[in-house]
Amino acid sequence: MVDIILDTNYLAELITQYYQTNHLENDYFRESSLFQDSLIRELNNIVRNYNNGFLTGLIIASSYAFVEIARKFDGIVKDRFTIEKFAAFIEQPPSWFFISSVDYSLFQPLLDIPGYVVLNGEIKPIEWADALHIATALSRDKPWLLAISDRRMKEIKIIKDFLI
Amino acid sequence: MVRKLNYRFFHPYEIKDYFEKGKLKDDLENWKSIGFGSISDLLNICEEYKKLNLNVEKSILIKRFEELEIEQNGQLLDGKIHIVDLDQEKLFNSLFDKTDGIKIWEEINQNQQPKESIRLLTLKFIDDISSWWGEDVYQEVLNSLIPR
Repeated sequence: MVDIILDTNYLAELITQYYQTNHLENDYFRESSLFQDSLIRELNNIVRNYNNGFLTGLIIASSYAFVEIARKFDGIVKDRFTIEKFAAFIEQPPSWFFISSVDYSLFQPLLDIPGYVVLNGEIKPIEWADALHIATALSRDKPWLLAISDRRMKEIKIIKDFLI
Repeated sequence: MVRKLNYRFFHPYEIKDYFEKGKLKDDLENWKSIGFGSISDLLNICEEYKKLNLNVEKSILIKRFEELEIEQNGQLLDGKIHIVDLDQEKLFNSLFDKTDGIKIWEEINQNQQPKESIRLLTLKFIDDISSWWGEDVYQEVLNSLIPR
């Protein structure tokens, strides 16, 4: 059972594809500029198994990822889905999807995430808000895999083995 | 005799003070008030610590966090503080304005810091039981966003 934790960009792509496909008819996630083979395989395994009556993992995003989409709705969504669909997804997400709370459980994981990383020889700060996605993963029992798009985040040693 | 409790905003600077000094303000310690804070301001303490803006050792920081968590989980009228999480229900109820169709709440935008967005969403006054601390706390939150 492997959970997949998505950052904001991956979440927006997932919501886009969710409304473009019919998951009850075995129409699953597809390759895109963001969704690559290994991720698609894991996401589709979760959905396919759920449709066959087995819960073998969850697709997860922090509630903050939704806030981030809302803060920059036009820039991130680019007309791929409407506010009505965005709201409907939050109100009643599919059963294989979990909206993880921003809560006390993130405190100690946040402390474990470094404040800075070295990227191309330069020291780059890790901002608190970006670290929330990683803390969400770290707060959960393994196994999990993390889909993040920010290059700085990918340099964090404690998650390097768990990126997808 | 029934004691009337004051509900007030548990301000970010008070949270920082608590982690540095290990003590809440007198009105909270004496059960005269319950302080309502946002999870964003609690978690931001980690950022303050990592960026060396917090004058406390890590072991003490964690100990004070654990003590605050116990306080949070105490029975309501014995608790001195209440930190509001951003869960799915709170997210849905606060993020959208549903008065005329459905829109993203106009207070949420990218001109504010992420922690401010979460603060507004968690402590937003909605006229139902989900924001039982009342409108005054939310008004204090709004005032906190005004630069001093």
